[in-house]
Amino acid sequence: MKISDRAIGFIAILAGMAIIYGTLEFRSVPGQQFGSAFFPIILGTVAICVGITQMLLAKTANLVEFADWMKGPLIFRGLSVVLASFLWLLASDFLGFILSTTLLIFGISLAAGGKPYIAALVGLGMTTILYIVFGSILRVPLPHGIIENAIL
Amino acid sequence: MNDILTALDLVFSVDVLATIVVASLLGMTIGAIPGLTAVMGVALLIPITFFMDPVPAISAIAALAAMAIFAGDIPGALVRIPGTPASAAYVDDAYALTKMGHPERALGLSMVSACVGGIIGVILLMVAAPLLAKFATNFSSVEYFWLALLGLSCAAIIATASPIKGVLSLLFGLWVATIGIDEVAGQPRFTFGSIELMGGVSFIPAMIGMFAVPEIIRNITKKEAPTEPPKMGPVFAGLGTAILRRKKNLIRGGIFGSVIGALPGAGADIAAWVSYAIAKRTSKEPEKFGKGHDEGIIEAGAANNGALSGAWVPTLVFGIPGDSITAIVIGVLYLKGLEPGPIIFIKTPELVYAIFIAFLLANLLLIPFGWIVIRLSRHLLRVPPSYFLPIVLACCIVGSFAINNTPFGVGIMIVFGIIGWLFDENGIPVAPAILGIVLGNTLEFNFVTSMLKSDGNPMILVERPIGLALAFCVLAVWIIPLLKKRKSPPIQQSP
Repeated sequence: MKISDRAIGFIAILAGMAIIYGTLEFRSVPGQQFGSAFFPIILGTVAICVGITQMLLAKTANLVEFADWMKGPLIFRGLSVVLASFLWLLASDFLGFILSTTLLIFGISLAAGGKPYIAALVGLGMTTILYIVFGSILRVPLPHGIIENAIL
Repeated sequence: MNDILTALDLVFSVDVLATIVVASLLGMTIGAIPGLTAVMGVALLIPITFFMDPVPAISAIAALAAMAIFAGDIPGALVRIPGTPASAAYVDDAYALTKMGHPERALGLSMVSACVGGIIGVILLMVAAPLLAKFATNFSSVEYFWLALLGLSCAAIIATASPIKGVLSLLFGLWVATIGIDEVAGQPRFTFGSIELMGGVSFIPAMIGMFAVPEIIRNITKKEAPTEPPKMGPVFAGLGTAILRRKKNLIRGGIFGSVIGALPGAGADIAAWVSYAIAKRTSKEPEKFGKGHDEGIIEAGAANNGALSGAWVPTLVFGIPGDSITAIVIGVLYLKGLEPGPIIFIKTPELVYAIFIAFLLANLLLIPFGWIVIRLSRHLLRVPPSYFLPIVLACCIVGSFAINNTPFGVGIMIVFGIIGWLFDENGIPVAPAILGIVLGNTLEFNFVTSMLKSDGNPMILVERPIGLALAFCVLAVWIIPLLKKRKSPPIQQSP
């Protein structure tokens, strides 16, 4: 997804202004000449200047251009990565690490054209390895859910 | 001497050696799979090193990076897909050799070149780093401010195709570094009311997201017909003679690569391209380059791994990363409670020597491990992306979770992954943003400290001779591209 260089410049200007606006609520420290806002204000100012330069130097182009893969069925592969990650974030607490990670690998493999039985095997095998390495050896408190409660 | 013995003792322990071996095999595998880069491999390794002592952690990173950079040559030589950007410089020569029926020759040459280049880089690291560290003990906040700015400027302006986009990426990283409670005033900045953001944005999930997620999306959305890798002959047959005939290229590549790698912001890919250009310019047969000639493979291959070692010089001495991998290393050193800079040479010299030894060991292991992975490479290249890419994503998720043991890290990874993908799509380089996140606090702290010392007089920044010299360097980095730009047409939409 290609955004025009001019729009990128405009976004940089807005971001610079937002940073400076965000510093207005920072309290100043008595007797301190350079407080918390000092450095962010410099960043915001530079962002505005660079944004203006970008806008001035950019050639005219469409506001947004979509890559070829985004216009066909391949978009589902790209979306599956982002959606599966968000779903893992939302569901892992309830489903637990083993089920949510197996489903994540299985789902993305299927979306990317993998065979269901291999995807299931890869998902289960890799999740088990990750669980052993992080959950058992490194003692990371991975989310417990349905399967963990049943087997542990 | 005692420090060296202690360092030897630290490195030649069972756990460190086992860590190096495992990390090496992981690096070889990651580098050999097209689309997975050395930086991404290191990013995925960090959550595991989080639980290790400093020596095995740093040794693992050094070993993985060295192996992955070499292994990146394998898909380049066999199917003309460079495994890492650093391998792209000589991919045409390597692939042409494969088409002639000698893939083992292309890979054997790059394996030995990588090993020798890496060792030259380690020697430079061993000689230059302690000398520079002695010199750097006189540095004040002013010099550190300029050094940080120089490193960031090089990464944003010199090492990128579009300097303006490089600066935008850097500003984003510097802004992210300001998120959280300001240590001096105790003021929460840009936390948007989130308690988790009070401690700042976790560097590791952000880095995993920005480096790994765009690569996963890019690779999973590619529609490429599977290619059958060619058969492999004996790797070592005639290798010694070929290397000896090109020893000048080998040594020059190692030296140039190490020196280029030591420049803040310049990485292995720049070193490889520069060395390839030097090899072509000085060759008696420049017309053969790109058609299976060995000079470019040897010189640029040596530069690749030389740069990898060289990049550790500014990292250890000044705390300024030489490339993206060492930017991650700085984050790891801070996590381990070690502050990179000249003091590390005084406080924990045994650790510095241990890093040198681990690096040397990793480069020596390139030959046996390289041979194994060359033999296995045909099988590695057959693994379909539809299976290994979801595995990489699962590793990213569990790694991001493990840093703070909360799903918040996974959220950071996803958000920064989307931002990294948008950067990637629009030709905005990711590395300056990562360097900005790592060095933002150093830059701000030293700048504000200098200003406070001088009661707000900016002349303090150029009063000392080293500060003045560094200021000129920074100015040159910013001005030279502008002068070049005046001679060329306005900027184009980047591809």
